[in-house]
Order: sequence, then structure tokens, then C-alpha cells
Amino acid sequence: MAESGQVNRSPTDAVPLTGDTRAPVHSPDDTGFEASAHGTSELSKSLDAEATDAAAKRPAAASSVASSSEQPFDCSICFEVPLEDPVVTMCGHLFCWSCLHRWMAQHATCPVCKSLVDRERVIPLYGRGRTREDVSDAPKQQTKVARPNEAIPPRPAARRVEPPPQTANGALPPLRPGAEHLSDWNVGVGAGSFMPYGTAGGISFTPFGLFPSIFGVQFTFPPQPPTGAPSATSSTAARVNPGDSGAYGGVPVSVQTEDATQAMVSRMLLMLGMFVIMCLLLF
Amino acid sequence: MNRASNVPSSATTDRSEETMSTGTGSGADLSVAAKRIQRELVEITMDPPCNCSAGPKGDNLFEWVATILGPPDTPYAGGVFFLDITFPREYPFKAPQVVFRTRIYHCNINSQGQICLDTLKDNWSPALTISKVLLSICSLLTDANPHDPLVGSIAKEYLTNRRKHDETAREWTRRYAR
Repeated sequence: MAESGQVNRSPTDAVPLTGDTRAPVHSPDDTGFEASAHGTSELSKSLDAEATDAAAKRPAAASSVASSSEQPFDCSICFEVPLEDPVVTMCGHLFCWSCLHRWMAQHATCPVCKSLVDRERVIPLYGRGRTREDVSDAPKQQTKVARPNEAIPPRPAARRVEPPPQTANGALPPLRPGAEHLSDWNVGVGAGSFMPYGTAGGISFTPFGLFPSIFGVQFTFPPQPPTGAPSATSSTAARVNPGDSGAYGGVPVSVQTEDATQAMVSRMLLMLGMFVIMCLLLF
Repeated sequence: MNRASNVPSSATTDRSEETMSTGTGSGADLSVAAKRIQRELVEITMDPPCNCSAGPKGDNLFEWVATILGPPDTPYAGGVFFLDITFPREYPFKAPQVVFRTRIYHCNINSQGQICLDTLKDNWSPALTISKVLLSICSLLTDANPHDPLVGSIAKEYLTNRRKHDETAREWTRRYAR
């Protein structure tokens, strides 16, 4: 809009149509040249003053985005910086939650790009300071001074994805897609590749190596401990207790390894059994 | 040309800023709307759209008057068209009302000055500004939309006898917009 405006403006100002960046750059230079040619000090002074005026105005005129009140992080509805409850739509546009909520009472599209907007799928932005009360699922008292008559519900909480639990020596295991859905029996089609899990005594088996894409059954050792945290898709964001970062639930590591060994032996037996059954079926 | 057209709007800006500080309304709606209109006033004064200017009529920030210079290379060239802008209390959630006060021969603008522009009706978005609306009206003057007319006879003439249409539009511009 602003660009087309600039282009249309130039012919009326008798400036060649070379785009709005070149045109203002040339005009003050021309006046300066004229002043020096005339040689009159007064005239040159006045023209210089005019030129500096023009130069002072130029950045404002040239970069219309910067000059206007369109700050990069303004709410696109009230044009203010959303200090209270900023949210971002899935299409990436920033609003005050109160503004967006009011607009979405009657419309389901983004005011900026007309993309469909789901009330539950806006992303809250947390800066420093007010994070705790926002993340917790406790019903927050919305103190909306601007609109006391309308009850504005609290903005949707953030969706958190729980990080995978730490191993015994405190190192984070490598992230695997969909790891939270799989138990220590990682059974999946095409999961025949070697995936070391954990660094302390991590052993991984890939049986039926001949048909990894068909019979890819993977066993990991030590087993992934069950997580007590709610699933990441729950609407309320849960926080990780930083005290849980050591051994699993305070169980001594030696006991854990013994259990794990037993589990592994039982799995090996089961695997052998399955292998025998497969042999019987195939041959 | 631009500088000349900016003068009246910047003069009204100062006045409106004074009225803003005294407050135009007590409701929450009004304060939201007034803040937003105030921002737009600053913006349109600092960076006016081409061939357009706008500012409050008087003390009321919700009543503006705008001028559009007839775009060159159109039958409206040389004309100065006045428009009234009325901001609703629910602005920017509701579209402003923009009406031509100067008569104009245009198939999308009727004799009452009402404008057939989708962004002023169903396609309004709070992300739009008066500056953008005025630019849209400017482009409507440049390129009429005879397929969605407000005045059917003018649209028909626009499509069938463009020369006569342009001549009448020029005549109206001479008569009413100068």
C-alpha cells in the first residue's frame, strides 16, 4: 500500500519514476549544487537549511514502515505493544489476547492475513516476569481494566513437550521422534537400525537383521523408566521438577542394573522363542 | 502538492491531541477506539497516502474529514473530493463509515456519497487503517468496478460507452469538485 503510494506520488512532485529510494536522494544534492553555483552565501545557507530539512525528513519518508507507528511488535488491532497477555496466532501474527478474543467473538479469521484462527490454538508469549502464573493451570484472575464488562477468559496456556528423562549419569539421551509413545520395547516397522539409548551400559539388539523392515523389533537396555509426568498433549502445561534429575525416583543404581539384567534375560528368552516360532513358520 | 495537502491535517492534529487529553468518552470502548484513532492520526499525518489527507473535523476525534485529489490520468484529475469519516464506538472492530461529500460520477459511488467497497463492509479487518481505506478509494477512482455497481446506469455506460462516461465524469469533476 505504502509503496504504491510512493510510486504514485512521484509524478506529481515532478520526480522521475525511479523508485522512492533514488528520488529523494537526488533532490537535496541538486539544490546543494545550485547553491554553490550561485555563490550567494545567504541563498546557499537557506538552501542548505532546506536540504538538511529534506534530509531529516527523508528517512521518515523513505522507510515508511519505520516512520509510521507500525512497530514490529505492535498488536495489529489496537496498534499498541501488547504488554498484557500477548498471543501469536498459528499464522504468526501478534495480538493482545483481549483484542484477539474480542475479534474472534464474531470472526474466525486472522485480521492480518485472513487465515483461519482457532481460539484454542493461539500461542501465548511469556516474557520475563509473569511466566509462572501464566504457565500454571490455576484459574488466573483476569484483571482487565479496559473492559470490565466483558469476561475475557484467560488466554490458552502454552503446550509443553516433556523432555526425555535423563539417564543414570545425568546425560540426556538423544531425542527420538515419538519416544514418549514407546515403552522400553521399541517395536516398530523399520526400527531395525541401531539406536543406542543411554550411555551407561547401553545395549541395543536388532534381531531379524535379514528382514529389518519387516521384523524390526528393537530392545533397548536399560529400560526407559516410566514417566509420571502427564502427556505432552494435555492442555495444562506441567512443570518439570528439577530434583528428579538424578537416579530414577531415588532407586539405587546397582539394584536398578540387576533388575535390568533380569529383564534383559527374559527378553532374550522371549526373543529366542519368537525366533523359533518364526523358523517353524518359515521352514 | 503533498506538502500543501498536509498542512490542514497537521494543523488539526495538534487540536485533536489536545482534545484527546481531555477525554472524549468514559466507556472502555471509547478509550480503546480513541487510542487507536489517535495513533492513526499520527501515522496519517507523518506519512500521508498519496493524493489523500485526513484529520478530525473539530474537537470530536471520531468525526474526520478527508480529501482525495482526483488521480491523474482519470476523468477525476484536478478535482478535490471531500469525504466524511465517522468512526463507530466499536472501532477498530467495526468498519468506519466513509461517505463522499463531493458529488462524483462513479458507478461504485451513489448520489448520497455512499461507497461500494468490500473493505468497508464485510471484508473489514481491524488491521486496516483509514490510510489504507483512502488508498483503496483512490484506486477505486482509478479503476472502477462496474461488475459490482452501486449505480447501474453509470456502470452500464462505463462498459458500453466509455468515452461518454469519461466525458460526463470530467464534467461533474469540473462542476462539483473545483
